[in-house]
Amino acid sequence: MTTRTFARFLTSAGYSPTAKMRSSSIQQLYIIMTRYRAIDPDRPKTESTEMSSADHLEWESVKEKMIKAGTVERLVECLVGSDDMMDSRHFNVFFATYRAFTDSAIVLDCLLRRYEALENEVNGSTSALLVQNSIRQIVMCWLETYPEDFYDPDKDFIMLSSLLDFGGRNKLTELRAKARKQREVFKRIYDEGGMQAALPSLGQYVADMGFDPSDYPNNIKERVKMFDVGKENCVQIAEQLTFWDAALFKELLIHQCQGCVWSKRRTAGERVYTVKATIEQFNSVSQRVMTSIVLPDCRPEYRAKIISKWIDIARELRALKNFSSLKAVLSSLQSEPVHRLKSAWNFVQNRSISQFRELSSIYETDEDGDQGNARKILEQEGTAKSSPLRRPQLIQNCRRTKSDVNLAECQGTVPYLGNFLTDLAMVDESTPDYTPENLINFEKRRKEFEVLAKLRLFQSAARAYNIPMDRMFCAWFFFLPCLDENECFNRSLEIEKPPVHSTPDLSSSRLNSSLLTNGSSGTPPVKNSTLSRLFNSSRTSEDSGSHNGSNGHNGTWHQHSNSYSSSTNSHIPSMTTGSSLNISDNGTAKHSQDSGLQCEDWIDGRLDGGPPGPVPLSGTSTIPRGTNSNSPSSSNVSWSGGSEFTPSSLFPYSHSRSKSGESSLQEVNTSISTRVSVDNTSGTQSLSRSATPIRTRLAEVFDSKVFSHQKKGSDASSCSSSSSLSANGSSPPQNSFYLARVGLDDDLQNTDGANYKCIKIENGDRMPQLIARALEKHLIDDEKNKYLLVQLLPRGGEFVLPDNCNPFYAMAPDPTSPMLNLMLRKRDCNGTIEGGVSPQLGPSAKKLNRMKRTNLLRWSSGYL
Amino acid sequence: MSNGGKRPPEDDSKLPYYKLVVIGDGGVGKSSLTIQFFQKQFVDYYDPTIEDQYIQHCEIDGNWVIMDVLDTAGQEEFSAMREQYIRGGRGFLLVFSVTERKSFEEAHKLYNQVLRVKDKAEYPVLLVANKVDLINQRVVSEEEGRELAAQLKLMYIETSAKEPPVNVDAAFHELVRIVRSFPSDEGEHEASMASVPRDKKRKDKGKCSIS
Repeated sequence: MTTRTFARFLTSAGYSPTAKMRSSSIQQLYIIMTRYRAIDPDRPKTESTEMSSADHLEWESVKEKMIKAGTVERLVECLVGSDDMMDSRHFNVFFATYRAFTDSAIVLDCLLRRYEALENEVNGSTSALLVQNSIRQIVMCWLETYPEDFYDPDKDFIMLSSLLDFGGRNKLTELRAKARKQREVFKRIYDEGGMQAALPSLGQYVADMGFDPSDYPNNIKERVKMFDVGKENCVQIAEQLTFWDAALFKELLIHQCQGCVWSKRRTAGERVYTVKATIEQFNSVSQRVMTSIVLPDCRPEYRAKIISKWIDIARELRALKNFSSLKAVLSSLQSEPVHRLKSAWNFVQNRSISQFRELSSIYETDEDGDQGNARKILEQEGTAKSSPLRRPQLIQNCRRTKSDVNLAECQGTVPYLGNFLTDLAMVDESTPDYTPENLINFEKRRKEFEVLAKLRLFQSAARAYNIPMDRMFCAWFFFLPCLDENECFNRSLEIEKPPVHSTPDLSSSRLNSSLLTNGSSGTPPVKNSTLSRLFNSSRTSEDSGSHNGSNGHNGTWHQHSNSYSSSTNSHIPSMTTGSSLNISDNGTAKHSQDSGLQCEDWIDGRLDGGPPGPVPLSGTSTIPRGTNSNSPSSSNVSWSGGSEFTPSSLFPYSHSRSKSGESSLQEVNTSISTRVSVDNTSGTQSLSRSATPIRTRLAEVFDSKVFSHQKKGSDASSCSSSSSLSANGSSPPQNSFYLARVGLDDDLQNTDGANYKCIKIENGDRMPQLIARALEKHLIDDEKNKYLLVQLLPRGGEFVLPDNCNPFYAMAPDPTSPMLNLMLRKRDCNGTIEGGVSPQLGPSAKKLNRMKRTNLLRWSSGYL
Repeated sequence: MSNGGKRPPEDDSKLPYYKLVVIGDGGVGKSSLTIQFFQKQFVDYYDPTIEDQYIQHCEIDGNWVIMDVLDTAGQEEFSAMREQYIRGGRGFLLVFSVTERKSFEEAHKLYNQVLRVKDKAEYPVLLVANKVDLINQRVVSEEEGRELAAQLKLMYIETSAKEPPVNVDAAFHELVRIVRSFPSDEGEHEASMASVPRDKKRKDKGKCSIS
């Protein structure tokens, strides 16, 4: 397109006598090696005649000289235009693309040699001075725009050194200063691991976070937070994904996208590291989306909610004009493992489906090849400062904290890079690198530059985002389980058998009350019914879980499933069996009709904009439910819900990072079961979630009355036996600990205000030692039996740890915080503990919770 | 653009429309095949960044058809995208490079992925052994290629996109024949979720081919 336009400009310029003269002189000047597009005098006057006659002066000033081809030297020479000034257009094209045909050192050498040649040659000539000045300017601009060209992985920075020498010889102080400064920057980058390590990296960031012992448990595994359909955090998830996409996209070195560079990614991977980083982020989003949908053992309705939530997130991504993650999410929803789950899609509300279709239509271009919708949208909105889409959730019912920027006001764009890579690959393929005369085909580079310039433009648009990074999100995202495509597909097959699709049969699964006992019996399930599918899937998920887990983040998952299997071996009750996977709603699938409905209602309530106000961070999508402790079925629900959650709700606590390997499911199960919590009727979802299983346990542990589930005597007793087993410390694996912050109760506070100390709670610790340790940390020199430890629960409740408990198992989960929060309190004068649980907010709890909240970032206050 | 000697029918909205997708590992020369196939049509001016230019009228065995070729060269690393592209295709050029064994192995996997996405036991796919001009670097023999094709029950063709091109047009044309002989599964696609864009395609058939 542009080429044509240029050609036309030339024609019109040609009619102005001045321009003609000039361009011919230019041709003369450079004709030997560099050719410009010739003005074709035979060319008939086109529609531009009128324009050119009207304002030919303007055309004259355009003075197109199109470099079609040339040698490296000539191309470099042309950076200084015929007017002895820097030709900024040629500069842009040349420096965006020259890596395809030469390398930085040669270009620099050409420039510097020319400069010094002029120095010797015509001392004092105006033209020579002008050219020198332009060369200096070019080098400065180059260093400014593409500093990475001057980097070198051997830490020699030869180019910078020669630039420094050059600056010294020619007394160019400004240039020297700039080069010196750049060298300092590079030295630092080198020392910190090189350019690649300097890229923003969510994974790296999370890993780094883990080493800050004062704020985070050092075991990253406990920070798994699951994808929770009950949480209204679509906006936050979309924003944070955008933060990372934008951060990586801004760092993209566009010349690494050039066809000839990118196509060599297999052999020269280090040349494309910024491109790879954006793709990695893309893939890690899509894998997590996929995994979050296929992994849970749940009824199709619940899976539909997960899908819907991702569609909601996609909508937010669209509104944020983050076309990269948008595409990642959409393509995951269209990926085979998810796409084929008809049973789940059947339950996705029409509203969501049509939204999904609408969003997918953005990319129709890829499906159909008709004029690129996505391209149009990108072009229209790419750099505009606002999105034409309303963000309904943002405006209507989204809770936003003060720290949130109002993103509706100002925002950037992140394009989907893949289309650009394809364009560039195609341009590279469609045009020869050299002309028949064996000159560098610069027309090709200009064509490439058209694409690269768009990327540049989008990069500047991406800077318009103003999204603060959320640390808790990083960990949450990082630890979302991430299975690879094949694992997802296998998992998908387990959920829904390939050839025969039985329509989801809710009633049967709801009505079948023997589910749990069936499961525990461990008989291989028949795969035909929804019911047995549920079991089957939970079982197989266990299998697939243990196969997988090869790489990186999967580790978490892997370990988790391992330990899970170990727990099954040791005859942990079936409910736990069902819970193998992090995302937990298989409870939904399992409980009785009653509770199933409750659950539905609850979810709907949330989706429709349930009570505003912060919802504590909850590890996972536990089964949300109303607190209804009278109903046996509800306790049944919560029990299985809790245990399903077990792994994930555990991860927020500290297990030792490395060695808990085989460990934990047993202790996970048991610790959940011994966990005692408090709660309250606050009705806050996550609390009631974690609280409910605990209440059940409470009944067991404190009232020594086996909880009265229907049809579960055996399960219950096996639970209690397993819990007592581990409480005795006979079987649980070692090597695990929690980190906890220990604050002081109000009456112990000093004015100096040391607010908390960290202590480690190990499996096998006993309360007296723990209290002693806490006292020691706080430098309180007093008898340990005058004190007790109180755990502060997420919503402000307290749990007084009983004197003879195993604190490691007794601690309640606190998904809102990376560490447990404890408080040291003086015993009442009579020294008793009243029942272990105080349902009201203690005054000190309020205070400490306040403290906790300010210490943690907003994420912990309830978005994820 | 020029269309060679014969011109397609004026009203092309009734022409059979084939959505073809070029798949294969990165660096196997997908883009060069695609470009080679299209570029000859755009002798004076060809801009591969304009998507219209991947749509072409062709006369195959005396019948005019519209071929719409999707080639996502450069995007191989975006793993989640692959299935999305596969879902949109009615026929596939499954390309590997005879100079790279890994791409040959990858071809097998990709075919399985096609079947998986299409939920079929077989699908119109042409196995393309590309870069046969690089005789010295060849590591996958023709026998091996044919063997794999037989095993997967696919047609097989050896191509080179380098000048002078070998079998490039033949590959695309052959694929159209294969697609044509394959029972249409349009109805099933319509029913499927991500057929979202398909409806639109119908609507736009005419538009695509105006140029």
